[in-house]
Amino acid sequence: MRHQEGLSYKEIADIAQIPPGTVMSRLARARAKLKEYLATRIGKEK
Amino acid sequence: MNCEEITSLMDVYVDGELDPITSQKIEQHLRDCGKCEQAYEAHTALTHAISRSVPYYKAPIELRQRVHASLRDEVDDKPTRTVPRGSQLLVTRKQPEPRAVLFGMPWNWLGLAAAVILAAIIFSSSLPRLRQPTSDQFLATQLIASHVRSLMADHLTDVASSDQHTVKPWLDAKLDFAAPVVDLSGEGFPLIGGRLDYLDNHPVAALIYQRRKHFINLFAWPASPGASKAQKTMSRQGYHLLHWVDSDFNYWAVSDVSDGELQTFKRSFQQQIAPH
Repeated sequence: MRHQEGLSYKEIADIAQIPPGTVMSRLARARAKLKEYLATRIGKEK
Repeated sequence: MNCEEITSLMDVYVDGELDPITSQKIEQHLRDCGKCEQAYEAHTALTHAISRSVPYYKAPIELRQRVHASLRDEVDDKPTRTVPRGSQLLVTRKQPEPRAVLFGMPWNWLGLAAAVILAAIIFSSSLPRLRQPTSDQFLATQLIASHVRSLMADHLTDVASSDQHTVKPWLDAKLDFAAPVVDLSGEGFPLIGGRLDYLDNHPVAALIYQRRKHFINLFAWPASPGASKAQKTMSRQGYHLLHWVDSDFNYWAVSDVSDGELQTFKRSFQQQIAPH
């Protein structure tokens, strides 16, 4: 929703019915996971 | 602000969710700190990469239909009960998405909307019949305007010739139909020439005939199938209009000659084109 639909934290919070803080923390967690995944993949490719 | 603070706020900053004052502080820091600037670049690159390369699927239509079907079943089965929690969540989740607004509406509203649309369709399809006299009136106004304009603006003819074999090919080349052109000099209505015009949303052929010092504009265009063949006469602003339809064409003759003379003109025209 954040990256594809370009929705704000508030909009996402309204849709998912969770507090904006949760949106923020979930996004952060997802990005951290993505970063980790990409890092291992790039590491393997090297 | 130190680098650690900046790092912790980076996500939110990139998402544009920070208050202006903090954003400004971060901007200031990014200008001064190469390391954080680099981290910022990496964050932005990741964000762009996600939006660019992660596949984006629209929910298939079947899913939408299935959701609607189950919603309908819920409403039909338990009209008095409150909608179960799951469904309620589904509806409220759908609402903020603009594309799904229609489907987030309650069914009775959709029913009402459908009824209104249906009524509008029925009304608009019967409208042409109801409006017949009005559309003729409107066309008459256009015909007279065109006739008057042709006389006042020194633009009576595009091709000035009394020879039907000059006028007809000229018109044929400009239109997607072959309008009948006949010279009626023998009957006292010499052909003066032809002109292109635009009436009733069609390009039309205008043939100009003379009757002593008067001019007759004869507009012709292909008749639509099922058009009424009834002859019509009208008088407006001192002009007479005579309408008839033959197997292929719609004709409107407009002139300031008398109604009787227009009828004579029509008969002569029909007699002349009949053998061809």
